[in-house]
Amino acid sequence: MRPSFLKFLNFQKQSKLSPQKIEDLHTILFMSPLKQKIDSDKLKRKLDLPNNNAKKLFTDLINTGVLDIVSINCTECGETIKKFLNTCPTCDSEINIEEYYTDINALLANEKIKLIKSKHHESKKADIIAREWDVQKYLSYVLIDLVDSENVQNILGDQDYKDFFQEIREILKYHALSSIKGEYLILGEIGDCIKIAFTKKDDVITFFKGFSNELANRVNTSSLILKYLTQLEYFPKFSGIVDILELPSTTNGYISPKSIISITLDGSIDFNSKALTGLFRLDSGVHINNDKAFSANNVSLWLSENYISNTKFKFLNKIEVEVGKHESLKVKRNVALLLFNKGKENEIENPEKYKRENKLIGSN
Amino acid sequence: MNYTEDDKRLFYEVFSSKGKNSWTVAYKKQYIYTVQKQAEITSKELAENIVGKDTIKIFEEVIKYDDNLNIFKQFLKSHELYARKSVEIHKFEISDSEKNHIGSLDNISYNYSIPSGWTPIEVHKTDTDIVITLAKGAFHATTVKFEKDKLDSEIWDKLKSNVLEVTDNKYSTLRSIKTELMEETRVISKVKFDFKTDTLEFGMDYSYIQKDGKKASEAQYIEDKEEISQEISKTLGFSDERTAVIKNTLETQEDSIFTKEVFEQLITLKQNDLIIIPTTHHFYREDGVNDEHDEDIVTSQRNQKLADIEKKVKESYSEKGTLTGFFEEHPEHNTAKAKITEQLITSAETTKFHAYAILIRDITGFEKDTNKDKMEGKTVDSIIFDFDVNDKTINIKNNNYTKEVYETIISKVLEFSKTK
Repeated sequence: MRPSFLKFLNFQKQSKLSPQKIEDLHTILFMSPLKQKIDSDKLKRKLDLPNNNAKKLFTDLINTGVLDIVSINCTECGETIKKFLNTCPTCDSEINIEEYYTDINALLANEKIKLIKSKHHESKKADIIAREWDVQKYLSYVLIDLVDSENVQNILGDQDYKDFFQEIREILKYHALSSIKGEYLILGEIGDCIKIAFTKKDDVITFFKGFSNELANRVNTSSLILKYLTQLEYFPKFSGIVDILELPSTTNGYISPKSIISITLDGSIDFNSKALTGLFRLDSGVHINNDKAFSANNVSLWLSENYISNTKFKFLNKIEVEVGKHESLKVKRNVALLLFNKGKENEIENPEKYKRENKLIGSN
Repeated sequence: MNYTEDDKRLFYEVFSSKGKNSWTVAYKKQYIYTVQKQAEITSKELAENIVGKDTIKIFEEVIKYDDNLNIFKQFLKSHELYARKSVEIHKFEISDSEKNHIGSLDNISYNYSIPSGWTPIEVHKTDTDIVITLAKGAFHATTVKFEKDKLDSEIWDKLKSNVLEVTDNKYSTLRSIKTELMEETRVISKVKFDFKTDTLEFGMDYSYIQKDGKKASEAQYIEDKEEISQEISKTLGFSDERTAVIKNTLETQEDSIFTKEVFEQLITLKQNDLIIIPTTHHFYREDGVNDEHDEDIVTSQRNQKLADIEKKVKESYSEKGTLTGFFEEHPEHNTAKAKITEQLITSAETTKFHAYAILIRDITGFEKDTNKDKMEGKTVDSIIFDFDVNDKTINIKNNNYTKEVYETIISKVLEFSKTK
């Protein structure tokens, strides 16, 4: 609502509030950049008033018509209360003045508010990720690739391929990522590869289960996917890999996570450290055999030895892979494998069977 | 017999009732000890632990030495003045002509009767201040519960049929009968005008029961303040205009000296003879963008026990002769360092705290000196209080606290607010 300025003028003539407090009240009621809830508690904090006086002020603002209250529910019986009453008309229990509130309109335009809120949300998210990374010194890092992507892109054509990825993004955000416990960060998308960082190890598996489940649902419900189902051998299938992203350090100790995580101009979060790029190479060293993996499953996930330590998957059988673009920088890593079918994970006894030999070792 | 029946009634009220007018055991013992010293007798004639006996027995023994109950009445006065008060202090300057008029007034000595409405029961002035104590008739309530075997069966059956009828016989079993009892008592307010610091100190005990058996409401508090303002103005001969100023001062609290600065200084107070330990912190954090994310948080350190802390304070002072360094010696009582509280102190606004104020002071009058080493001749005194930054009121929770610890806290508040 927009408070009544005329009624406010009358109100202030009779009010015992000091001129400074009237000025502050005017700012709260008429110059709020964002939409906000005003109740007696807010008035108490903002105007530095004793509790009783804040309640009286709020009551006066309602009774003089400066503000209108919004409907509330009785805390005892749930009855909707539309008027400013002392007791509930249904259960007769007392309604505390502090329960009542009013919504004050914002001065800023909706688009601007949306951007401010989004930046604010992302900034909080960045804080949580930075704090978690600082405490446990690592994040779990996931890469997901569309299987048979070149073929899929050719068959779907530009527009449908774009729409398909839009649908995948929706699945990620509203289905796979919505049930995780910790925080996550989508670190951009290059072509058909999506990168996500997680603060909690267990969330990676929850995420893949959710992703596999919803992907399976879409096979029956999405007209876009149904359209191409028979034309493609592996569609829609995804292969992923999870590794640990250590907090980078220098000779002086760990680098502050806050200096690595940055918020871009459009309000999204990114990693701005070049030092991290070297860590994202494991996916180039191990590939999945599509025939073996995707006849009965829709998502595959390679798990690095570092990731599975201290998890229930630590006893999974592992295979050794060679990672690194240049001969001199090559290192050996061990990986295990999980395959997902309709949201259920299958632990793979013999990952070697599912490994595809690299066509070009070390390339993407 | 040098005492009146009213005095005797007051004595019985204190020693036999539990609740509003009863004293703490320590305070009762201190009274007996004072009687001993005044009458120059030993605990053989009157032992302090007599306080645990029947009121009739206590009265019979005590009356031999406090024959006009004067010592008792002194203790009662002190109890009434220093029990559960909510205290506000406001800037308030008394003009020279008002001061002159006050100078011409006579002191009124403490009156123990129960007036019906707010009435001054004592006026006491010195060169630098005037204190008016007022009282109003109020009630103290208690409940007594009866089970079937405790009541005559005829009465029980009669009551049962009556009550079941009231509920249209929807219920069939009467389990117990609860009765509410009230005794007449009085509620005290203490108002002090300090000419030196130009302040008005308003102390009020809001924890009283009204005639209808209900606790005084917030609306009643406002009415109390107005009536008290009226009464003190009448007593001091203030003009209508000044009466309005006093009323306004008490209502709006805009001239309160309990500022955020005072709040901050009190919550972290560490001095050589006085420390404050906040045990409950109330925080408020405004999100700034999403007001749905505004947070009220309370952290409570329930294992901070006053008796335990007092013991450590005593030990520490006995050895060092100061409380400086107490928190280094006992970091477990530095409540600001508890993990979540510590994080909130830096990320949210503290709006209220519940705390112990612990003071080491010299013993006075007939207090027993039980301490050794650097504590010799000294005693530990505590006050438990809440301080809400918006309400600008210190709410004292103890039923008994000493004048010394109270005045020390008030003097700190005056010092922090730079009015002193």
